[in-house]
Amino acid sequence: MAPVARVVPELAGIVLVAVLLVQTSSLTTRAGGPGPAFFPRVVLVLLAVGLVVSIYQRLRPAAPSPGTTEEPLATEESTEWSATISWPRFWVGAVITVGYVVGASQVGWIPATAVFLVVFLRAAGVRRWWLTIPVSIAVTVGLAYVFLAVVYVSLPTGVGVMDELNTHFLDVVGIY
Amino acid sequence: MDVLTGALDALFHFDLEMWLVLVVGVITGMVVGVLPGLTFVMGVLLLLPLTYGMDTDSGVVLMMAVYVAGTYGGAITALVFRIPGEPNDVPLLWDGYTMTRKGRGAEALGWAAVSAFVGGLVAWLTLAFLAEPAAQVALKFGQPEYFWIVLLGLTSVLLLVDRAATATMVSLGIGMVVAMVGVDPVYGTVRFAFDNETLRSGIDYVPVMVGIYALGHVLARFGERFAAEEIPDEPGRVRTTLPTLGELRRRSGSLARGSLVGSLLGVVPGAGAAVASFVAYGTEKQFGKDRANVGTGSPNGVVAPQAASTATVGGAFVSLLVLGIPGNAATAVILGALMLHDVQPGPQIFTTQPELVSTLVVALLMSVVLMALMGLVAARPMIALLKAPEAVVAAAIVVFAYLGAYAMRNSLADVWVMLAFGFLGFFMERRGYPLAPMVLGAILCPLAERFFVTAMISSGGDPTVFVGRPLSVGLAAVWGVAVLLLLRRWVQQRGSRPPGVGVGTTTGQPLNNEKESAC
Repeated sequence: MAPVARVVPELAGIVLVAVLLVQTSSLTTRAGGPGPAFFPRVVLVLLAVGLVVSIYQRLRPAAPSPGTTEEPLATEESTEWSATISWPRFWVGAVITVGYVVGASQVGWIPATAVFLVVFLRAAGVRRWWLTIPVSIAVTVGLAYVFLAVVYVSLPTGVGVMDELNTHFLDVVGIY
Repeated sequence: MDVLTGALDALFHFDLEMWLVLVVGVITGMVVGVLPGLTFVMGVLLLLPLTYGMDTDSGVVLMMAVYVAGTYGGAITALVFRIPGEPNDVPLLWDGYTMTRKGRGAEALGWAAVSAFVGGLVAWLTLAFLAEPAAQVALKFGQPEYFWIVLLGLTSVLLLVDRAATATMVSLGIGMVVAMVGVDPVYGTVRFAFDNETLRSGIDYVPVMVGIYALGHVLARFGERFAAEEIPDEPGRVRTTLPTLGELRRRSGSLARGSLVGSLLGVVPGAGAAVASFVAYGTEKQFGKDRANVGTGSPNGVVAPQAASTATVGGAFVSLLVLGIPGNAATAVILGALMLHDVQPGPQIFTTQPELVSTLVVALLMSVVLMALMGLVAARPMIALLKAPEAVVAAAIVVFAYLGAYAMRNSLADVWVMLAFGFLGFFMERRGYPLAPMVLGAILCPLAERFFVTAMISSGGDPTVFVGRPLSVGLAAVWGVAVLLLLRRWVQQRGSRPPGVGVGTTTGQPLNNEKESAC
């Protein structure tokens, strides 16, 4: 791997820090004191220093010399982790989770959660449809009851026709 | 004395609902402590949405009970199966599991239960007897003193890590930058919003925590196919043998040292149960009466870390209630819950919310008692929980993470923030950046900035305001010592330390690892 490729996230971080530093120039005030830009500048400069040191550590030769100051950044745990993680599987989990968040805002929390639970469990290797589907629905309705009727926390009901359908459903099952 | 009288009064006024909340909290804490995929921080986070509809007392008591019991639950599986449920249970493996292998498992479980109980009692004593005097002192603090305390907290995050100090600094910095997004609390200027309404209203640290602790963890475990250690089919007969009074007397030094270490480190932002547990183990190995046997199955190797883990609760709550500064992630979530209920912790809380303080004092004691009882009678059912399919637990975590982020402000934007930080946390951890400093940075930065800026404004821009009184000079000196210690360690490491050997504890165990570090 090219050396620069090994430090892309840190380089991106430095670019972002630079953008934010430039932004601080527009932060002005007539009130006294150090102003709204002072603290962000201090933190951003320290963050930039940290990122530069981090890049140096990642680019230096892999075998540390006796005078090395710090361990390589990847800990034993993360090294082990990277060896065992399945990227396709990770992205499946990520897509399902993002789909749940998007779905809950569009079709409402109740249908999105029921579908999410079934799909997530299936993707995670739970094969018993006859069990996961009714349990997912029951758990979703149960949680909806707890949050809407007991704790009085509102949940997204979706947009358009789904909003009406969800409200009607909650009315029918006696939660509203 | 007022706090004690109030606590006694609160105990007599505990209704059925409060007892139920306590029992549910302790059971939840034990369960999340036992399950390796769930930490007590996650337990407190996932219960957060349930507390929105509760009254303040019940909500905070629920979280406190989870926190207390969570420092102990994982000890059972660590001792019986060598499966640490929590990061702070790792030191228990070295002596505790060795005891089990030598046929002294019942004894090890007994020592863990007693140590958690004693550590919990010390935590209670700390909260009951030291919080109010500490608040009297804190009432004398001005903005400069508070600034030094918060700066000390930020510095201690760096001081407590052993390896990868640069990664910790970057993580801390990212958290601080995140906290600066939105309207500046002093000047009212909008910062780093890029004309985005979501960013303009600021990034609350609760969805950030839910994302990195709950969602990031689920994504990682999903990618790992929920691979776990093999759990034996039949745990066999799980027994707990309590030590005799004579044995307790012989180990009283370890109990005292562990409890003291836990109480002190509980106050320090960035420390928490895991760091306290490792430090207590190291202290025992270096200074304990039985130090020659620590590491080979000595009960002292169980007593000190377990007592320290549970004792941290007292210090953490003193810091939270007296200064309004959370010492770790669990108390950070509790701070969030308090603020959602319009309760502002600080030295005045003892006069503005005396009933709440009394309720917390007595709830801590009751949580400790219930936790110890649960540990004695429910060890076997707790172990059976290890058979729960992790995929189901993970699915529940995602659903509760969604609810936790959304229900706080009924905002879908917070859910997106949670999602974004779930991914950010996952990738940061993969690159070796610890996550706990990011959370602490996000929590402590707004405080540091507010105290610094208001002190400067009130002094007309004169920086000597930060060393203008003996109190602030003393705190500045403490901060200076912390910086000197940091520099000294940096120079020492540069000169001599071979890679792979930790200096954070005398056992050579790393403290910087996310699973073993702050929060």
